[in-house]
Amino acid sequence: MQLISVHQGRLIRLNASEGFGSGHWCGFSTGLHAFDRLLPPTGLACKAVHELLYRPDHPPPRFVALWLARIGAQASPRHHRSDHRISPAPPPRERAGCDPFPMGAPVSTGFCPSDPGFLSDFTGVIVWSDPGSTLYPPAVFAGGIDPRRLWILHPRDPFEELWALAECLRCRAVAATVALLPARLHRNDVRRLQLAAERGGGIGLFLRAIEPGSDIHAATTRWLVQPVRGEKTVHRWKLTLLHGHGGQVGQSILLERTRENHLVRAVAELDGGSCVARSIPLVSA
Amino acid sequence: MAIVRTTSNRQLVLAVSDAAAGHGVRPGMTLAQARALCAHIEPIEHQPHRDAMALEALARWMMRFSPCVALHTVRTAGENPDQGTSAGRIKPTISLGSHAGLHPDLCSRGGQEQAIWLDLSGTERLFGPPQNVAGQIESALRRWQISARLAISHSPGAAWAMTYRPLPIAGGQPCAFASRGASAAGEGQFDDLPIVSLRLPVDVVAMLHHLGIFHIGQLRKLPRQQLPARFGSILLTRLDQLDGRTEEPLVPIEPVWPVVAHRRWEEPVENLEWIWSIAQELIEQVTDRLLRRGHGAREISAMLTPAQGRPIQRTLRFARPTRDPRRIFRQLREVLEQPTSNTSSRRAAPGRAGSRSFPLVASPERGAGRWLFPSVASALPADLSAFDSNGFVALRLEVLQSQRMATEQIGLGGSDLFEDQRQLEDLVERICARLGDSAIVQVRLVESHVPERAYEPITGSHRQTEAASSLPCATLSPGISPAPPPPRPLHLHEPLEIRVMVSPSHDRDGRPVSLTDPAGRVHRIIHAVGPERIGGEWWIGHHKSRDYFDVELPDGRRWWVFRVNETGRWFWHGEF
Repeated sequence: MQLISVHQGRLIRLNASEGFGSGHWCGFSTGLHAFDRLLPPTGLACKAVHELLYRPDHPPPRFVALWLARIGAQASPRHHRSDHRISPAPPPRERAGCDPFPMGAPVSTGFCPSDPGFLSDFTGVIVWSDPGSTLYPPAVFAGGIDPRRLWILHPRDPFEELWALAECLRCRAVAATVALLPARLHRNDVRRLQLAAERGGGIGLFLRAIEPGSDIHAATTRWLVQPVRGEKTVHRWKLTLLHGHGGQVGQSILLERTRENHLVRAVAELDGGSCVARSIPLVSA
Repeated sequence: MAIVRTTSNRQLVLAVSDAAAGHGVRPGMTLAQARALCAHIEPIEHQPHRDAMALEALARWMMRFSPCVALHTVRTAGENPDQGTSAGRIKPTISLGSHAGLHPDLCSRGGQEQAIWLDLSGTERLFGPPQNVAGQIESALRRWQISARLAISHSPGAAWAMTYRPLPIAGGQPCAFASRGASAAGEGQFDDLPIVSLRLPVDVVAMLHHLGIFHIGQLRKLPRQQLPARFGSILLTRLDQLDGRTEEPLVPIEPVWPVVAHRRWEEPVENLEWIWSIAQELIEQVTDRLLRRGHGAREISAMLTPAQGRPIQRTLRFARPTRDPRRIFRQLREVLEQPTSNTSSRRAAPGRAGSRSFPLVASPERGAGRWLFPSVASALPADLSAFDSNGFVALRLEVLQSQRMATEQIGLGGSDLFEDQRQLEDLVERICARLGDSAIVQVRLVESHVPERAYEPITGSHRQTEAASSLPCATLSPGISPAPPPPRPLHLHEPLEIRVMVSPSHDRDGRPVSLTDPAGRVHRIIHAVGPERIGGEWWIGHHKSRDYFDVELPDGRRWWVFRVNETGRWFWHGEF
């Protein structure tokens, strides 16, 4: 009976995908309009590497990586097969300005999938490389990640880490691979990681400091993430798109997380406005 | 403790421990009656299949004493007796009526009797007299806290009957010996044994009891020719088996031979492709034997013997039982091509693979399919230092651990879920094979308020199962919306002591207003959320409590700092 239901599910999905026309799957939407506005029309690319850059005097933007990894995991890799067409990113929602995104709740609240397959409870696997054993897994779980879907890598040196990251990116069961990479990388290594991501089904999220040598990359999008002053219970980052074909390069948004209800919101930055002076009303999900 | 069997709405006690028996609890009672006698009795549901598995494991352990070890289960009702035809040889036999940790009465009241029979013929040269074997088994059973009855006799039936003989031995496993053979004088030693020791059906035993016959000696006084007519042929058969007049063959359990595939060639071989083809043949042999056994390999030892030097031994571990030759071959290549490095190469910059040495690497300089042996011998670990270009002479595969493997159905139209699961398992196996078992882990939440003790890594082969047991409430019950937990930092390090200036207060509980980081820089605190008090685990000796604050620095960074209330010292614990 289970097999029959699975089979029927496949048929439904195939029928649904046929109805979406000839658009091939290129990326996914985060569900936050202000963030998606910066992306290329196809959304945040799957089967690609995305880099989150940070200044050396700032901490690595782990929370932004967790947020993107969770969205990537929800858009599970089994939907990204080359023979399975999925519609491109949905059109942005009408309400501009800010979109709530609860981190502790199902991602579909702020995520508008057009494929019925996204309604499945299956989420992909997240691999987080943590050579120094400083990642705090309860915080990852509090961000809505299923403990069964989180695997933590403990490589002993950069050589092992690069090999393991390439293996994870190449695996179709891994939806997102997160790693804190050194700023100086060999050109062959970044190319190897990008090719591995193209063979796999997920995304690679690499955190790199802006230092000499960090301009060598093969990422589809590069973001500069800086913490900015927030409010008492609002943690705020400024995300600037540095590289991304078809995206609004040079534009910035503010990403906020509210402490009480774990909502994540993307806010378009006002020209010349001070982040501190702005008071953004909380919008319930 | 009592083992109970639930039948409809009744819970019948099948066996009791000695402590429960001391309170008057007896098998056959209902659990309610047992609780009336002993309020704190602990009922455990009867699991016959696990009893059978444990008994078989015990029997396999006893194969070290004799190659002929038989399991025997006697159903006391409706049993068909073994029909022996010829007079039996004298066989010293150990019979064990065993139930681990249970009262011996279970054997007679549980509906079936289980035993292990050992044929000790010809083992005297190794172990001496059979009493030595009995002594070793007795000490082992005592060590494992298995209560059993031991008997040694000339026939299986006699050994079985001897286990019913009460022996006045205190503080040890009772062991009975009946060393004399089938003679008129030897038959008398069984006369005082009860009728039930003859393994007779219940109705025959009841009929004999109704006639006032309770012992074998009383039975022997009856006319032998009239017994089959009144009690069936089984009675005489059992009597003859008891006396050794009728052969009672034992059906030994089949030994489990290790699955080994080995190939040794006459001359050293350097050709990589040739060795890989031999490895594939050996893997197919291994998988064929596993298929016949219905098992899948969990752990395989691969040993490659060079022409000179010590052999290389690697272990292949699989996340689930497998007999897929391609999967085994892929991992075999992974472990044999496992990178080995000394300490200097561990610090090498990424992208410089030349600083690593591989046991087996295809060398483009020497043509495809040739071994590449590192030129720097000092970079090799000890077990590979004897390598030279003389090639290899043997390859051996041995299954160290296997598990029963259910027949897998090919997914109808291909199941994405199963395929993803397989790919994930393959990935974990590859990483574990190459980087070690702890290179990739899952995490299980632990019930502890102390942040650094709130989780623990899961390694080994049951990662996903154990991680599933620690699902957070929000994931387990999406319909319920509990209060969100306080945020925790994604980056948690060892607590570093910092200096913190607090707001004026009548006591030490002021709020932080500025801090000095470990590098000596002073930061003004813009926002401070807290305190969140976390008490120490006093039951393990940690009495100090912490007040945690989520503080924001002027540049937007958020730190997680805490104050030890008992000492007033401040520590930096993590970063959001």
